[in-house]
Amino acid sequence: MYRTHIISSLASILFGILLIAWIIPTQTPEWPGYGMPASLLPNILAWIIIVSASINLIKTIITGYGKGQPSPLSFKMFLHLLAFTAVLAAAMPLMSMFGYFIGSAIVLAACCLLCGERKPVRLVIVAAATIVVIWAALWKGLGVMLPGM
Amino acid sequence: MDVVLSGLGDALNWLNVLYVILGVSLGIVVGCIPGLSGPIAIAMVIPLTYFMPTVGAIGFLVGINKGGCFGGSISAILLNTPGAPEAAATCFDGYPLAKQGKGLKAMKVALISSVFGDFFSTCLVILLAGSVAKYALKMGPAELLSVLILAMMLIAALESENFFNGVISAALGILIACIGMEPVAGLPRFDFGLYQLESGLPIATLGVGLLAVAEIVRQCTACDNKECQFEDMLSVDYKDPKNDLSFRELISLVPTLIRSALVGSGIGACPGLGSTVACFLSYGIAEKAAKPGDKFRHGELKGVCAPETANNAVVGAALIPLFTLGIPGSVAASLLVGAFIVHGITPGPLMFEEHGRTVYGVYGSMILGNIATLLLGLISIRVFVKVLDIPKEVLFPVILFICLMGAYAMESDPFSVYVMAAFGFVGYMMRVARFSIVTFIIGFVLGKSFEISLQQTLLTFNGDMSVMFTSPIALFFNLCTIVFVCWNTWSAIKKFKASRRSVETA
Repeated sequence: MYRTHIISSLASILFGILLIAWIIPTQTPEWPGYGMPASLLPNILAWIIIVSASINLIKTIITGYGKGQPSPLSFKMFLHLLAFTAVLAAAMPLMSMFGYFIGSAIVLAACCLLCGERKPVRLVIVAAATIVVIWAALWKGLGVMLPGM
Repeated sequence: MDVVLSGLGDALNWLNVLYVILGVSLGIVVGCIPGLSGPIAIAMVIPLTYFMPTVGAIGFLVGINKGGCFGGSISAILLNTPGAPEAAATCFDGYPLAKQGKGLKAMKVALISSVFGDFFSTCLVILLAGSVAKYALKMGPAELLSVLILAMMLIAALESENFFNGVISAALGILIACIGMEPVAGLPRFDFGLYQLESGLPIATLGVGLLAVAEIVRQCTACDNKECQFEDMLSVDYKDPKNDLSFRELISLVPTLIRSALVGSGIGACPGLGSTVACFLSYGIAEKAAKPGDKFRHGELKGVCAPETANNAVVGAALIPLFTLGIPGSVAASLLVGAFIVHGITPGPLMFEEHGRTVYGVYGSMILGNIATLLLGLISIRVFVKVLDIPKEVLFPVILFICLMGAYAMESDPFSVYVMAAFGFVGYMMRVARFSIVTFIIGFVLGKSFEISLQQTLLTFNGDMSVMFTSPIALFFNLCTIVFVCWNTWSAIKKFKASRRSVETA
């Protein structure tokens, strides 16, 4: 946990610096000459992040905060997280490529596997039932647009 | 008096009763689905109301809003997924209660709170509409800014474990709220050339990602290669005495109910603040007013009661400025304007003179809607709680898919799904690094309004901020902020002294 605190503090400081040095100057419009500049609030927030994260970093190093506690994230867990994120991010391209039914089936099957489902029959039933119920409720019932339809 | 009685008679017409029941039922179902909410359902069914009588049409739409507001709490409690943005704060204590096997109890509290908040604000609409509206009209940018400063102070005090992590979370939330049109020239900010970012990020997508996706992934990452070992959670037994809500517990909720109903009604009467602000503000106040032994964030009934009462109180109170001044107090109220106009009624002060019977008919429908929410809610919580018996390997992928489709349905744009996935990742990492998701979300909710009010105050008063202390309403809220800061500092000192004393004794 100690290492997690150090890494999260350093990442926050780095993010704050990135905001001040690049993101805010390039992504905020010019001041129109009245009111408050659009970059003022983000700049204040960036400095708040840097100062708070620095205090956290110093506090962690001096007090050894979190030493002896196990790390909450292993490499395997991180890979699992990335897999989930990738499946969710790939859902829309899959549905627009293969249509709602096939695309959804692939996504749901992947989600079931990632959630630990290992029974093929149950996996197929769950995927098929969910897809049909969502299609009936949103598309047929409420007239909501579905991807790939 | 004749007008009042005929109006109430219209409300009790069997067809109108049927429309109200249909509206509440539809609202509960839609409210449960993450990403869909009462206002979305209202927008979708407004064309259907062309063919209904006026009182029935408005009763149907108001019923959807009432049902949707309660429905949002069901998925917040059982799945840690706010069905509607205003139910986000309900997750904080509702889900821990469900994890302790008290999901049914949490839903009973949510239902009672919802009905109470709604009934309270409906009574306010009927009795005090005119006088409350006079004050609501006086809420300018300076007054709104002072309310938001008070809310910001409440956020800062929410994080007690690591204060600086709380500050970073709140700052990140406000920073994310800065994405979109900047309030002075209306030019895009932080859009990175993506047109979808020009209108900012929707709170519902962000909330679903941070709360639901992150929580499901957190539980699934504990799996080994063969089979998942989920946490022993979410088992609800009807006969289990821990799901019974005792009279004593109900009585202990009364101060929270009244306080939250007042907060919700006050916020609802002010156009522009909305139920999401009300529920977080109410939760913050309830947490700060906690007695020793109250376990906020770990399954506290008051933590479910406060946001649910406040967000439902907004539903009725948002109609106060609409009925008396023609100004909608919420998204749902602004959609109701369209429905009124379709039926030849222009909301505003003249409505009482020109369409008195219809107005009292709508009042009757609102009371009817409360009764319908209570009865249908009691039935629906017993049905929905069955969800918890489903194996988690089946339930979690289905929830993920519902979240995914809900995110898409909100904007009919795949970009919302990418945002949800990204915030699922961010939410997971924030949990790992012990950053508060609660303060992040509250920062996001209040950030935009804060910047807009600050800009409007600066522009309206040519940069002279002394109005914050000369306007009586702004001064009142500023004094509340000062009192709160002093109280918070005093309780922190007291807590510090107590912990030192206990260390010395040990």
